[in-house]
Amino acid sequence: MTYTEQIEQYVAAYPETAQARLPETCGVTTLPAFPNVIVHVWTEEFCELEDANGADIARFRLVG
Amino acid sequence: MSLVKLTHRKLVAQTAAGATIPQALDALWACVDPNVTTYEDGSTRSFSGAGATGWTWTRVQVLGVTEALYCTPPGGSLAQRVIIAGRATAPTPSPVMIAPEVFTASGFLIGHALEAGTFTTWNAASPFTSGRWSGYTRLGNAVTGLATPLRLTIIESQETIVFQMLVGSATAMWAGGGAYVDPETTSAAACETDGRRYGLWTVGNTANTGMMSTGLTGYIFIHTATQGPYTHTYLWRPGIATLETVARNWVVNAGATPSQYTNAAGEYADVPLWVTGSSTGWAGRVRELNLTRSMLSDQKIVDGATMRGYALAPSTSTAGDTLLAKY
Repeated sequence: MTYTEQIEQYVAAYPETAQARLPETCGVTTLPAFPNVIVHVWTEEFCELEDANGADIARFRLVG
Repeated sequence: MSLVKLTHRKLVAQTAAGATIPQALDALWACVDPNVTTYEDGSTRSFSGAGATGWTWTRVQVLGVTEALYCTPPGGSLAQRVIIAGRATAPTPSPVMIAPEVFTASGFLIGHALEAGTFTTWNAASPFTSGRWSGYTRLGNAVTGLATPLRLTIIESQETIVFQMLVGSATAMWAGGGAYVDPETTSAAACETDGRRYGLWTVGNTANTGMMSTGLTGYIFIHTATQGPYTHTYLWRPGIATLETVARNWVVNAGATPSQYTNAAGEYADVPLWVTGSSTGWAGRVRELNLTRSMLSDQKIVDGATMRGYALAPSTSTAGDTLLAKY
């Protein structure tokens, strides 16, 4: 699976996701299947999904 | 040239006092406590020196409740660690999971670190402060719903561990971590600086007597990308903080009959497994977890007076695909 597919799989599992923080190394800056989710790029090695209040919902590491 | 052969030693299995994750982790702690100085066969558990197989485990408790165990191998140059953790409810911050896994309340989580620094807490973004941290994959479903008794043990080798769950009267499941692949080369692009490939694996959330076949869960050394609780296998890509997924190559057949894997002298087949990474290609040989004739779970193989190894077989009642954790 591509990085985008891995991320979107998580967003689908957590519909309360409002924003996603993604590693800059993964190169993903948009989530085509979820245009309402705001994407932030950060220097961490993992992804973090947050709700509308900025609380973390899930953290995960991409593989590939 | 091959790496040094790993020798596996099994600790005495312990039964969880109840169906909660702290009780299950405490049972595992009773199994691996550094005060345990002998293995189930009576051999000495050494924590240092040539050939030592004893990993040094540490229990992590929060307000008296066990949430994790982590372990340090007896040797090696890349400061690897393995964490086995679990909690009845999601902690804050959320633990980093390995795609596609999600945190599961009361499930066993397992993760791997390389170039580890000082331990902080199991659910930190980097539990060992620095170095490479895999995040967690999972073995089994929530312990609150598993058949009883739940017996837990660890098989230790010089550079790997295998975590074994014996669930109820019927099934066994495993996850493992460490330097479990020998790339059979010292070429820098194909291995870590110590000539090894590190990572972790899990059969998932069920047992399957045909585990050498391929499917979603209950299989071994393959990878399911689409579902969290299923079979997963990962390796660190050499020298970088990225995991790749891994799958077994089909040089052996699943569902072999006992006669197919037993010779005329009554000796069992001893077939290495080979794996390939999704990004870097051919990865190498799974170290001393070899395919052998079908057996029952928790059996050990003795040739006369010589111990040969422990069976990783999925069922206590139906002989199935079996790996031999070589002694």
